[in-house]
Amino acid sequence: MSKCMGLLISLCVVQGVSAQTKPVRKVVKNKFTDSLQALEAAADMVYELPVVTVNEQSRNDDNAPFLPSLLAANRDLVQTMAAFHFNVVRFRMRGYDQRFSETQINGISMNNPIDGNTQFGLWSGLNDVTRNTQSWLGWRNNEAAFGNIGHTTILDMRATKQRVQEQVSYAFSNRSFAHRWMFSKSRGMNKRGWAFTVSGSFRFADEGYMPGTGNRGYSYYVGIDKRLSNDRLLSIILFGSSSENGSQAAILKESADLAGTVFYNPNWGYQSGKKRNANISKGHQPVMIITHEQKMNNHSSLTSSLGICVGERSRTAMDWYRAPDPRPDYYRYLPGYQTDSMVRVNQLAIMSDDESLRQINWNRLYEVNRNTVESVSDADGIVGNTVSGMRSHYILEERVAAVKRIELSSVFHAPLNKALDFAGGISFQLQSARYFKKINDLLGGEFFVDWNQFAESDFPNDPLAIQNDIHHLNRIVRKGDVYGYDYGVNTQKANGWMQVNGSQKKIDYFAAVSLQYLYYQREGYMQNGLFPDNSLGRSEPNEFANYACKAGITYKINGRKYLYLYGGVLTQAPLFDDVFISPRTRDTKQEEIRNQTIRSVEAGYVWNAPSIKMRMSGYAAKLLNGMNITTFYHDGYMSFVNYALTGIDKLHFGAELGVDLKLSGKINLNAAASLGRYYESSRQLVTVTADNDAAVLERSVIYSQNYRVAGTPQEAYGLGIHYQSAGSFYLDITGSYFREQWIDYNPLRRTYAALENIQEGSDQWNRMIQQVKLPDQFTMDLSAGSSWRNHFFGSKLKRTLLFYLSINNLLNDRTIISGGYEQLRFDTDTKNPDKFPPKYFHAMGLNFSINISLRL
Amino acid sequence: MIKKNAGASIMKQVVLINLLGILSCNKPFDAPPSYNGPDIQPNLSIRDLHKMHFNGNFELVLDEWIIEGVVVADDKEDNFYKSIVLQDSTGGVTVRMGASGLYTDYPVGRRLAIKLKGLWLGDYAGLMQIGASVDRTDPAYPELTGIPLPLFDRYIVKKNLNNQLTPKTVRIDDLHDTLQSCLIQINDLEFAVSDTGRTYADVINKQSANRTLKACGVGSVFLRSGGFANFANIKTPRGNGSITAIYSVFNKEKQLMIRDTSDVQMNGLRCTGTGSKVLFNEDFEVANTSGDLVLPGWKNINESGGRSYQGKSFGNNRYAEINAFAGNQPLVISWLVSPPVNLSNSANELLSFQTKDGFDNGAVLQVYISSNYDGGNTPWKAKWVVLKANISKGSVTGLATDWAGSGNISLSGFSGLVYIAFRYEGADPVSATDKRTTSFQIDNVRIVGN
Repeated sequence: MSKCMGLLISLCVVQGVSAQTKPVRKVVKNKFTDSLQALEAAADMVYELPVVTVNEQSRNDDNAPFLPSLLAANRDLVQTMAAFHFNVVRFRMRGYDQRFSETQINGISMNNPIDGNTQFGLWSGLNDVTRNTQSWLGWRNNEAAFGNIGHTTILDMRATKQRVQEQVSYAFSNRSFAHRWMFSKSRGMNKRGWAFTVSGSFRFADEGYMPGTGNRGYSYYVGIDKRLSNDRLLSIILFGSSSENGSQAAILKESADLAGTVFYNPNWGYQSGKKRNANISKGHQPVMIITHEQKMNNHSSLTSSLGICVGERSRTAMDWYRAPDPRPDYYRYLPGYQTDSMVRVNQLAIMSDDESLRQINWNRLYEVNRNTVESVSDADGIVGNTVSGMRSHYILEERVAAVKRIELSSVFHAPLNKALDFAGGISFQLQSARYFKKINDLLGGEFFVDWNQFAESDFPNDPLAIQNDIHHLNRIVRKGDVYGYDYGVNTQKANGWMQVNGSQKKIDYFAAVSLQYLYYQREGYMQNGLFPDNSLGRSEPNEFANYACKAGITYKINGRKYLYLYGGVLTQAPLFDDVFISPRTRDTKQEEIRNQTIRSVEAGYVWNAPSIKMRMSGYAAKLLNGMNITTFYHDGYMSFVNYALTGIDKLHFGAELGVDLKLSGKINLNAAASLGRYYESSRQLVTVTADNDAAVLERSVIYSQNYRVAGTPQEAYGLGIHYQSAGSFYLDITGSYFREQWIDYNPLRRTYAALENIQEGSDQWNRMIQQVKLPDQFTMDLSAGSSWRNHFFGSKLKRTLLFYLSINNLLNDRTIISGGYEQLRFDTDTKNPDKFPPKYFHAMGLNFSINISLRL
Repeated sequence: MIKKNAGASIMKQVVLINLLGILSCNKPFDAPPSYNGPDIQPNLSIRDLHKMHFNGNFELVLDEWIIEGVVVADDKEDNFYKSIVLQDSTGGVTVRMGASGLYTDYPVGRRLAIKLKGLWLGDYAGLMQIGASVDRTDPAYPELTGIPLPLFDRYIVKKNLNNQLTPKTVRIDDLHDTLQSCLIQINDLEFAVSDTGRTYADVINKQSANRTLKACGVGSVFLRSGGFANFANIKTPRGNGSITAIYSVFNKEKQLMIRDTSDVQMNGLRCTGTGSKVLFNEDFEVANTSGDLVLPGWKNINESGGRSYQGKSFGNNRYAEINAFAGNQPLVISWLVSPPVNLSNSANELLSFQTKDGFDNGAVLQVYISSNYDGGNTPWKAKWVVLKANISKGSVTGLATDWAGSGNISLSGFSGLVYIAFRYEGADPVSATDKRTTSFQIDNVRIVGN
C-alpha cells in the first residue's frame, strides 16, 4: 500500500517540476488526457451498430457463469469481435470471471456484492437508451472508476445524453424472443432547461429457439434532466425490466442421442396440451438514480449520484417428498443405467420413440398428489392437531432473492495544471438481501409439509432434525407460503479512489490508488432443526479492508503509433458466496478466510493510420488465494456435502491482436485474435463438510495444478469483411474459430482417495484425471442493414426507415457446444468416471433477428 | 409527435395484436383431468402365472399375457424396497421396480393390470417375482432387475384406488408356496420369549432381522423386517394375538413381512399353557393392626404434613389406611410404595387393587408406577407415571360399604424392575375452609402376568 502511495506522489512531484521547466504541449481537449481514447472517439460511427442481445437463458444457469463481453459497440477491435461473434461459446476476455468486471450506470454500481456479478438483466430491453456506453479493459485509466482486471463499463443514461428522436422498432427473431417492440422518445433540452426521454419495450415468444423456453418481458425507462444553472445539471432516471422465461438445462450426450437432437430440453412437459417448463426465471428490480453534476471553472467537475434498487428475482424448480425423482433426465432413468443389454436396447427404443418419456410427466405428478391422502399429526406445532388431505408429494418451489440496495457516490475531476489531471471518487453502498423459497404450485394437492426429508433418513430417532423451522413444527404449507429456508445477507461497502493522469509531448502516464471496505453478515429467519444453535439470528460479521494501485505509461512514437505499459496490484475480499458454507441452513464459514491478491501487467502497441488500425498487446495476471464453495451429493459418504475450496491460484497470460484494414473505399477487413493460457496454478485445499450435520468429513488436497480455467475458449480468432456502400447499405460477414476450450472439472476425481489403488498411468487413471476439452469450433455470422428517408405511410414529413438483419451461425452448425461441466458426482465404489458423464450446453443453430425501425 | 394517418394506425393495430399476444400467454396452466388408464382386461390368473415358472429358472414372457390384481404391500414404510406385491383371487406375486417412493403411484388397495410381454419371471431364493431382465453380474446368484421407471406405464396400467383387502386367515402349518406374496392373517400367535421386546430390525446398522413367531400349538415362522423400515426401531410386543402379513419364502425358510406395525395385534395373554401367574400380591394380612403401617419391602413415607399410612383391621380383614384428619397442616402428601416387582420374564401384566373412601371432601389418592425409583426415602425425586385406576369416592357421610375394584390396569408398556406407589394428597388447615381430609383404605394389591 505504501508503495502505491509513494509511486503516486513521486509521479505528481516529477510532473510538477517538469511542468515548470519544459514547454507544455497544447492539450487539445481536456476531456481526453488519454491519447488512445481521444483517437478512438474521433473515429465516429458510420452506421448504427447492432446492440448485442444478452441471451437470457445462458445467464440463468448456476453452473455456467456467462459474461456478455459488452453491451454496446466499442471501438476496440478485439472487444467488438468478442461482443458480437465470440459470445456464442461464452468467450470471456482474458479468461477472467465476471466478478473482476464492473458496470456502472450514472455512477452507481450494478454489480451484486454477494456474487460479484453484473446484473445485466436490470436493463435488458432498453437498447435505445443504453447506447451511451464506454468500456475500458484492464488497468487502463478512465475517469469514472478505479477499475479491475476485467472490464470497466459505464453507461450514461441521463436524458440529455440520449439522441433526440422518436423511434418505433419491431424485431422478429427465432432466438429467445420471437417479437419485440420498442419505442423511445427523447426531447432535447428546452428553453426552460428541461429535457426528457422515455423508452419502453416488450418482447415475447411462446417458445424460444430451445424447446419449452417461452418467455415474455417488458422494460421501461423515464429520464428527466433539469439544468439548474449554467454549470449545474440535475438528472433523475427510473428504469426497470420485468422478465419471465423458461430455462434450458445442460444435457448429457446420452440424452441428446436419445432425443435425436442436441436441442433437447428436459425442463418441460406437456400439460393440457401445452409445453410447461418447470424452471421459470422471473425478475423485476427497478432502479432509480438521481444525479447532480456540477461543472466548475477551470474544467473541474463534481458528479454525485444516489441510486436505489429494489426488487425480486426468482426461479422455480421441482421439489418432492418421498417419491421418485420427477426429472426425466435423472441418470437412473436413462437406458445407459441398465446393466442388461436387452433391457437397455428395449428402453432405448421405447424412449427414442416416445417423446413423453423424455419430458416431465405433469399428469402423473398431479395424479400422485391427488391420490395421496395422508394425515399429519401435531400439525403446525399444535399437539393433537391432525391435518388430513391430499398431500402434495411433488411441488414447484420458487427460490426468491429479494434485494434492497442504496448507493451514494461522487466523482470529482479536476485539471491540476495544463498537463496534469486529477480524478477521484467515493461511494457507499448498503444492501439488504433476503433469500427464501416459497410454494409456487402444489400441483393438484392441498398441502405440503415443511420437513427436511434428507434429515429424516439420516436422523431417524431425532424428531426435531426434520423440522426446517422448529418454531413451526410440522408446518403445513400451501401456495405462497415460505418454507425450507429463509435468511438475509446484509452488506456494507465503501470505496474510495484517486487517479492522476499526465500528458507530455512524448508520454502519457497515470497512477491510481483505491481503498475498499466490505462488511457482510448473515441473518437467519428460521431456526433449523438440524442446527438450532447457529441457524437463527445474526452471524458474526466479516469485515475486510483492501487496497489496489495501478500505474501506466504510454509512449507516443509519433502521432499514429503508440506503445503502452500498465501494471497493478489489487487485493479483493472474498465474496459472501465463497465464505458461507451452507447459508440456507446455518452460519458456518470457511475455516480460514483470506483476501485474494491479484497482480497483473499489460503492454501493447497501437497503430492508428487512415488505412489501418491495429492493437497488439500482451498481458499476464496472477490471482492468488481464491476460494469457492460447492454443494453436491457425495456417493461415498451417501450424503450431500459442502465442498469448501481454498488456495485457488490462477495464472492468466496471453496476447491479443486486432486489425482493421481498409482495402478500398468500401471494403474493410477486420481481424481479431485472442490467444491465452489460463491455468489453475495451485493444488487447492478442500474441507468437506456434511450438509446435514456440519461434521467435517475430510480435509484434503485437490491435485488441480495446471488444470485449465474453464468456461471460455482460450484461443479465439475472428476474421470479417465489412462492405459499406456509397449509400447507407452495409454488409458484414465474419468467421470465428475457437480452440482450447475446457469444461469445469469435478474436484472429487482429483483427490488421493479417488485415485487410491488405481495404477498410475493406466487407462482408468487417465480417464479420471484428464480434463475434458471441447473440439475446435467454427461459426460464421452475417449482418446487413440499410436505411431510407422518404414519405412513408403517406406522411407529410420525410422519415427514416432503418432495416437491419443479423444471422448468426450462418452454416447452421448444430454441433456447437457453448459450455459444459463435469457432473459433481463420482461413484467411489466402481471409480468409473463415465458413470456420471459431463453435461453440455448447446449453442443455437442458424439464428436470426430482423429489426425494422421507423424514426418519426 | 405521432400524426393520425393510415400508417400509424396500422402500426397501432399491429402493436395491439402483439400486446394481446403478451397478455394471453400469462394464463395459468390448466390442471390436468384425473387419470383414466386404458381399460384392459386380464387373461391370466396369478396362480397360472406361477405355473409358467420353474424354480431356479428365468423365463421371458413372449405372449400377450395380462394379469390383474390389487396391491397388497407397498413401500410406504420402507419395509418393502423397490417392489410391490400384487394379489388376485388365485394368488400373489412380487414385482421388482426400478425406483423407490412407489406408494405414491401404486398404493395398497390400488388395482393394477400388468402387461407381461417382454418381462421376465424368476425367483429370489424361491420367491417368485416379475422383473425387467436378469442381472448376471454375480453368476452364482443371478437376479431379476426392476422395471425401469420410464417404462412403468408401458407395463403397468393403473386402475381404481382403495379396493378393500381381506386377508386370508390361515394357520402356520397351512403356509406353502400357493400363498406366496399373498396377504394372510394368522391368529393366536406370539413372539418367542427371546424375541419379545426387541426391535423389529437393526436400525443402527440398517440390517434386516428375523424374529420368531410361535403358534400356541406347534409351528413357528419368521417375521422379517428391513433395517430401513420406518418401524425398525419399534419393539416387538410380548402378548398373543394375530398378525396380518405378506407370506414370503427364503429357500426353505418361511417368512412373513408386515406393511407396518398396525399389522401386528398382540395384546392378549400369552399361550404359556399354565395360565396367568401372580407376580405380586399384598393382602395386608400380616400387617400390624394399629399405628404406622410396617411391612417388609414397603416404604411408608410422609412427604409433607406428617401423616403416614396406618395398619388397620375390620372383621378378619387387614388393610392400609390414610387420612389428613387433625393434622392442622396446610398440605398433606403421603406415599406408600411397594417392593420392586420384576416384569422382565412375563407379558401382559395387569395391576389391580381395592379401595374404600370415607368422609370424602376432596382429598386425592392416586396410583403411580416408576422404573427409576431408587427404593430410598425421597420417592418424589423419581420419575412416576400415573396409572388410570378406579378409586372409591363420594362417601361424604361415612365409610363406603363395599370395596371398589381398581379395574385391570395394563402394565404391558413397562418392563424390568418397577415400583407401584399410592400417593395421598390432602389438607387440614386451621381455617374451617378448604379441608380435604378424605380417608382411604387400600387392600389386595395384585399384579398378574403370563
